[in-house]
Amino acid sequence: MKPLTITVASGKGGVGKTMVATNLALSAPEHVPTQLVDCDVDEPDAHLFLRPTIIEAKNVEIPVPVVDQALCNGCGSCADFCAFNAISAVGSTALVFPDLCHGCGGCKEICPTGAISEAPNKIGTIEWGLVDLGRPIDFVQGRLDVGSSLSARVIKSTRRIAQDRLLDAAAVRIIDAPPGTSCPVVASVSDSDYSILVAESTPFGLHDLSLVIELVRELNVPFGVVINRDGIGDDRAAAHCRKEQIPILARIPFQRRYADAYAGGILLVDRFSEVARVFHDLWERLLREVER
Amino acid sequence: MPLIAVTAQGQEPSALFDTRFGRCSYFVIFDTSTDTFRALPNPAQSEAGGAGPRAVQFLKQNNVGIVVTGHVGPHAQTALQAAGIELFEVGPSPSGTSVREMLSSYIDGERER
Repeated sequence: MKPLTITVASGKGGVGKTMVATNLALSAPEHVPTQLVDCDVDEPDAHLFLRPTIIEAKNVEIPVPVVDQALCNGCGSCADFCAFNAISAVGSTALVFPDLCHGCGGCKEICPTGAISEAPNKIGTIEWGLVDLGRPIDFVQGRLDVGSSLSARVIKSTRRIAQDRLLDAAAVRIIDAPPGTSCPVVASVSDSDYSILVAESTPFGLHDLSLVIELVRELNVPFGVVINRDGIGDDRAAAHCRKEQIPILARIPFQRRYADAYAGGILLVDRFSEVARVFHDLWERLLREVER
Repeated sequence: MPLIAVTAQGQEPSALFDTRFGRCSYFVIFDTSTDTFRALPNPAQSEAGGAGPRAVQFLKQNNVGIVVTGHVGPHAQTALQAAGIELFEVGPSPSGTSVREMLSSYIDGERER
């Protein structure tokens, strides 16, 4: 069994993904078990607003090659095979660059002298625990190590742990995705039941929204748009949604006091009753959309 | 003297020096014993990652013994050491410096040593 999984994504960064994800988690219908999964592993920040108590952590590791210099004859088959230049055969034996390795294990398979074995290399951490802000929220976040580029790998592991922690089909899982439209976003949005695309109505905002719309369509995930900072820019994001028959799920107006509160780590639904209403209506709309 | 590779933006000794190592456009390779050169496009230029080590491997395959460039990263540095290729790192060079000028300044520097 699998909870209802809603992924909050955006093409452009800084448009309010984490704001929408965290406030959405806190305003989920009462008695519905809720989980927030922060998959923005390059710099997870949902914890700043939800302030979870972390109870456990686990390393994310990939297998990287270790060369037995006595067996290696420097033939270079491994270097020719590696698509990431993580193993090089410039000297008398192969040289490994663990931080470039994607852990595919191909070099080990291809080595004619059996000189390559594997050892784990840490690329990130997954932490989990509980949020208690009036209602309990299960919390899981992934964090990529500085210097590693394997965001998608950490995201997949984070989602597996999130899945193991919450199996209830009556529950909701909210995933805070990274920005953009590359592999880490695909890893976050894939297999979701629904995706909320957060957008702002500016030229860049619309450009990047169009890209992420293409992506979720490709992944066959139903989606709708939340326009954040409504009132800045113009009407181009809404016009685009109308033209493409994409539902606009909610509009959150631009207010300086919202920005002030957010910068202080405050959840907007806690502070502003009109925002709480927006999120209440967003949930009703979401549940209708998901049923369709 | 071993073959000397200079990172270059073009295929001639008169071309501009390229301060990048792994992602330079060409290596202009000089054989000072015969006073000849040849230019080879850098196969690592548009690698997604690990361009430095890939470029080192290419230079090694072409029997280069000395490389003159602006700056190399940590991966390339390790690979150059393993390959036994001598590195002459000039840092950010004044714009408009040619490959030939860089080669000369390396050779002059060696003479003074």
